[in-house]
Amino acid sequence: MQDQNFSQEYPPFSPVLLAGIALSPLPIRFFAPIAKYMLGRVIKLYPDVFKRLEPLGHCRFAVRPSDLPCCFLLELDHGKAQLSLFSRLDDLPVSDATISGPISSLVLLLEGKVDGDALFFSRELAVSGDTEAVLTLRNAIDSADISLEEIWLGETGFLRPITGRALSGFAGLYEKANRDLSLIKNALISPVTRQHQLLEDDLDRQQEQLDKMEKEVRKIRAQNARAQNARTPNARAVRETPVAENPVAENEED
Amino acid sequence: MELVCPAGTPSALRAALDAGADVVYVGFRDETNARNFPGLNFSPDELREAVALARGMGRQIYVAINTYPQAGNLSPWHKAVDSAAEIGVDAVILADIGLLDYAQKRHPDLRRHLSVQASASNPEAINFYRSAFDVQRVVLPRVLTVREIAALIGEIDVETEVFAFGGMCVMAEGRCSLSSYATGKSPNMNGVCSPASHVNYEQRRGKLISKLGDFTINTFPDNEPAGYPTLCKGRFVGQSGDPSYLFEEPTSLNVMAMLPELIAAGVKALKIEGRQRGKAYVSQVVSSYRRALDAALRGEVVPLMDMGNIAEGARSTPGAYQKNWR
Amino acid sequence: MKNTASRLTLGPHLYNWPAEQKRDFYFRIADEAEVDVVYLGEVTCSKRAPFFLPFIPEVCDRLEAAGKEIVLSSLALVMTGRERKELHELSDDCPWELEANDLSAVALLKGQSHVIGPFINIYNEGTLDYLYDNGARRIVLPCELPAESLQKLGEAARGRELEVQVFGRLPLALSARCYHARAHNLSKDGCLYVCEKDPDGMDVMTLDGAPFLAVNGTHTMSYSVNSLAGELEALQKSGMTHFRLWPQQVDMVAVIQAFRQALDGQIDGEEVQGRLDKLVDFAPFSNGFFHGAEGARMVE
Repeated sequence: MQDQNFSQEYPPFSPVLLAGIALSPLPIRFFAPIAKYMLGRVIKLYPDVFKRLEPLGHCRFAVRPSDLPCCFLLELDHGKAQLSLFSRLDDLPVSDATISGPISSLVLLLEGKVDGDALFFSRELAVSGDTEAVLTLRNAIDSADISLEEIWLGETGFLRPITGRALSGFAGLYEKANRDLSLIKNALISPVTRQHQLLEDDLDRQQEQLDKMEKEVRKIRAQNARAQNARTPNARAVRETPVAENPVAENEED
Repeated sequence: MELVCPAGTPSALRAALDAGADVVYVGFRDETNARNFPGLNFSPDELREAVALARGMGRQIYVAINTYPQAGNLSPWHKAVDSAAEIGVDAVILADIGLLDYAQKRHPDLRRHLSVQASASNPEAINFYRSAFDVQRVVLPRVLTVREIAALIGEIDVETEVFAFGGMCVMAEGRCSLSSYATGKSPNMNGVCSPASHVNYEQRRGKLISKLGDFTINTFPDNEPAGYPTLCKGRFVGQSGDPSYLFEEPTSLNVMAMLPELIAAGVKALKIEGRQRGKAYVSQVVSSYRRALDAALRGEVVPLMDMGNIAEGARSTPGAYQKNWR
Repeated sequence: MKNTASRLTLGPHLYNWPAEQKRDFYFRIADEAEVDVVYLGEVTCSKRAPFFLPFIPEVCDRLEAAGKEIVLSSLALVMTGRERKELHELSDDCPWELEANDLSAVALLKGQSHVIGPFINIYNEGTLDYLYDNGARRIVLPCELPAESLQKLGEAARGRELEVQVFGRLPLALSARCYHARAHNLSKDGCLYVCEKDPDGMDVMTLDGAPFLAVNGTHTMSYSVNSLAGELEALQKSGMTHFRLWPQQVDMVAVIQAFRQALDGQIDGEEVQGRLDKLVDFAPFSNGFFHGAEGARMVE
């Protein structure tokens, strides 16, 4: 039931998308141990998160980064968690809820650096299935100060300064690549966009006409209904036109 | 003027304090508070830590126990008031007459505020709560204009707290059964409005359709900012036959531009809504309001900050504070 | 078997009907309807009040002559100076008992005998006791309470009068804003009294055409018509003493008669519902709140 909602989704044209495609020949089992390691770290570092997830009982979340050629299944069982990776959507088992968005947004959400509602309002994030379960997950994750760096670094405390710098350097590179790519994207798609805009305008005009016709139909229906009501017993006998005179001053002071 | 900020989790609480909140208000993790959402809120132990943390920084913690106790099952609410008193919070925010009565008799020294859910919108009602239960502050319902608030303050001897930013009830708070009409769960009884357990999103032909229980609340074309399906902020068809936001658009309350007027009116505290929102929201809104309020209190021009990205439907309104809203 | 303890009441008229039509409505109630208590007065919008005000004395005379108990209902949301002034006048000097629908009225009526209306939040025995002690003679309970709560409150009332809403569109929400005016692109101050166009409220449909709510000025009503015809016996057993019917633009005398006969044990709930089905043609029925379900639902 969960997946049809996302079949029409288009991934953002981002560095992640290209990196994902570049890495996709690697078998998924290459990444599985990394995922397992990271979840283990999360459980160890942020036990309170899982306490807040206990009321969910048994629940499965499909997490679908829209710009990666893989997806995750997060399985919770009364506060215990398991994470599995899948390279193809079709392999993903049935889940209670699905969360989907660019991986960069999902990571920001994990770290509590962005408001989940705001991402949803701006349509960057999509959810389907059990909305309450998604909300519980979001609230639980947000209750701790999760840091990806903290999770990633593990016990290698002495490497921290170097890795920290490397991570921030990477973030800078990522930002730049992102900007470059959007430039390329715009250049590539501009002719199509123009064509598309013309078609859209056409469709808008047609929709407007349809709306007008629908409105007419509704009006006629309402008139019919009213005419029918007027025939009922204890009739709405003395309906008069609204009172023209107004005993209360209209621009009353507040 | 006090800046009263929301926290749904210990992490959001730290974010609020870091961003300059004078007071953080929280709720227990059960049906005793009006943000009874899954995964949210504080255990008594978490509250104890929160109070210690806030106290160390010279700030305060209020606890909202603002739903209406269930007939024949008063003990969860009584226990909540007892724990808040025992932990030593700075005030409890209550709505129910029976619970105010209980709190006053059992814990006369525990400071009592009247929740917005009590919908006290005039001096007679507010003075009643003052004389009957010795409430020290009233959180005003979002139905009054700034001029009405100023006039009201002259007729009561209770502090006033007003909503400044966040989700906006367009109905008189605490007097609305729309949510339970559609879902069986209400703010007054269950601490939820349009609960997520009854929300469904469907993606259909380039449109996001949001449903609450059996009712379609809205549809959003893919390029339009979306809103949560709170039922008074949906698109419906009324008399004209055209779909429209019959009650209110998906929008956030934002009174930043009116801070000088609210200060002049004698309002004691500004409240930010959003215990259900993430800590990123709390950080952004609280720090923006801290800067704006500090400027307004110094008599400087209030720097207007863009909150579009965090607001519902990416829009905001001064709501009922301006008369033309009605 | 006649149950003398069960009283039938007609709630205040919540819609904007032309004043003369409202007067004639009440005349007919006085002359023909077997109802014990009649509440009247403007609850919804203070701007409407002046229209019907001149007719109140003659309407009350006629109702009193017919042996009805009269209660004047106060405004549900009091905000402006004028609304407060009117409330003070009413509570200082009113020949009839008052129904308090805002805490301001509860405050002003402290120590006097009065009725607490359904717009005051009463969810538990603590509040119930407090308000009886404050001077309430009868308390009308909010519409969203489930059967278990009604049962507990009935026990806590210990024979004191308790009223429950059993027929009519339910007033679900109040606002400072007028949604009738807003729907017609008018301001509240310059509303032209457009709410008069909809004698049972303006229907509100969802985008896919499903009926949902009804707008009545500043009040938002249920689209469905609440009917606890099938639950009357259970309500009588749980200690409810008064049964409120909200006026709608249907044959209210016939509606009253059906409920009267049911309360007196002459006909059963099914028979009442059968009659209501014929009398009410503008919307379906619901009873979900009583059953702890969605208020919009009809639980068989």
